[in-house]
Amino acid sequence: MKVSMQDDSAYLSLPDPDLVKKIRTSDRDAFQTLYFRYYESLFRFLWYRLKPADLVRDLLQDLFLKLWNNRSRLDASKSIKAYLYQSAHHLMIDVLRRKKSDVTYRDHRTETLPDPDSADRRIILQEAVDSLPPKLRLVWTLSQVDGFKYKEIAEICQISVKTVEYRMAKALMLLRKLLS
Amino acid sequence: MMTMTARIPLRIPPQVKGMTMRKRTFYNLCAKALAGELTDDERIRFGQLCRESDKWNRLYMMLKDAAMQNKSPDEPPVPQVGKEWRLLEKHLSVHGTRSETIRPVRSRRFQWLRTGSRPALLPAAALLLAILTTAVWIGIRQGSRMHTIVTGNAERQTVTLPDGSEVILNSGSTLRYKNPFDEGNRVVNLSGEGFFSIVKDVKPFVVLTQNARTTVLGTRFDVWSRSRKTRVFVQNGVVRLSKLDNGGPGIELRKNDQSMIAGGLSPSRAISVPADRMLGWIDGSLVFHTTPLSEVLTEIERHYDITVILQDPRLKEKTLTATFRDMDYGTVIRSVCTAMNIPFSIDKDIITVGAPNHETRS
Repeated sequence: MKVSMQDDSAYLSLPDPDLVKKIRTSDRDAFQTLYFRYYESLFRFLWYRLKPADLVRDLLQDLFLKLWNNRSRLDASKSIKAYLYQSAHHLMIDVLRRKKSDVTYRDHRTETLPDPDSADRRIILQEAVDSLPPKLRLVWTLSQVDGFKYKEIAEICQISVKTVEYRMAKALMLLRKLLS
Repeated sequence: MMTMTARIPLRIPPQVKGMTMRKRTFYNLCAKALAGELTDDERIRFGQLCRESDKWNRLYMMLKDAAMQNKSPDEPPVPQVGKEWRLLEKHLSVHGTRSETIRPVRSRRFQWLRTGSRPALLPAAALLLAILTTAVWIGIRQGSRMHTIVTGNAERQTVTLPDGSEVILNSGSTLRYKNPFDEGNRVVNLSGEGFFSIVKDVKPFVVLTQNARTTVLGTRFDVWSRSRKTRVFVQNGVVRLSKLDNGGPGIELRKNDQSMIAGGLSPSRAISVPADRMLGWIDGSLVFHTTPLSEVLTEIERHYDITVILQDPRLKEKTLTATFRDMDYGTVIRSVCTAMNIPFSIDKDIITVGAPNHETRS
């Protein structure tokens, strides 16, 4: 059976930079392809930290709308994956900051966790992770919550694998201090 | 002079510097261990470190435990990407420039309610929404048409592709393809589950999912893809399954073979599975074979469009083997819970499985 495929004309298998070039020319099909390519993983990325699915959906719609409205400024030589994740991360930080100042907001999911022991510990750890510096927190979350490999994290954060290693180790060191 | 040099190591004990180096190494390896990034050499090194010192060992156990806590016990809901896209699509203006103000989509869920200022409009809007979930959405531009087909919960749909191939879409799934297919290939994008009957052609037929590429020439097979997992089962013919990026040649699946790609891993070794177990959903059956309870309940939710809450996460990994056909959800839930000896309660469309832990409330 032949494995090679000549589907380079298909949007679905176009690499990111080519899609970005097409999006720059207001190509909605290309934009839609990008949307479907990253929506689900971005959804997971935000959902784990923010939980209410409605909120995550709204954030993502805003993110992609902004991307479309700023399409003329996109740079095909830069990783769009990194751009998407970093934007999502910024939105997440905004929401969490607002959440902190909003006393009426309660996370119902952690509230109804049945096992008191593990629920408490989860909250303690969550707070510890929240208090990490944003750069370390992002790397930690991408690795431990989203299950990304160091190489993927390096691409998303636009840093070297060595820096990922360093930040992970640093995050662990801080977490240890915060937890003990 | 001699005494001076002899004293220096006392004042700056070399082991302090050594300790911090070791500490740094430990944390680095520890992080890699938690992320599954250890090379073979590093694994040996890390093992030595942990064996050498009880302190390191305890520390690793503690951090590992913490990391496990950090891994969310809940699976995120599967977003209906097609539906979300349709909502966003209305806001995309082709002529818009960056100076255009960005209209927030944020409050759209409430906008619907507000636009129906008269209460009578609400049921109509709900009905329209219900129709939309199965509606075939077609975008027409520049001669090429991207079709997006979305099935809601408790819905199945048969789709005929431009080349005459057929896809049966399971509930809560999205299928995207171009009509006509581009010259020289047949590519579709799938999230959820679909059973494909592919018409033979020299052009390969490709199913892209979030993390996998399934390539065939003409055959019948099932692709299931949810939450970064893709599982492929072949009823007839030969199918090639590989990772989405730099997948290499992947593996070849033949009649009754099943393989799975989890996240960015390579495909699992093919195992032979009876067809009725994999394809029961096509005639409306729910088929489970040593399926974890968490997955069983998600399938039931999708199948009946109900909400099931699992109270006790310790039950998630319990497995079930059973087949249900033409039963209402009450009967299915009752059977599952009786078989697994789990308490449950049914309140309208919300079902609670497993007893909550009351110790804290008393």
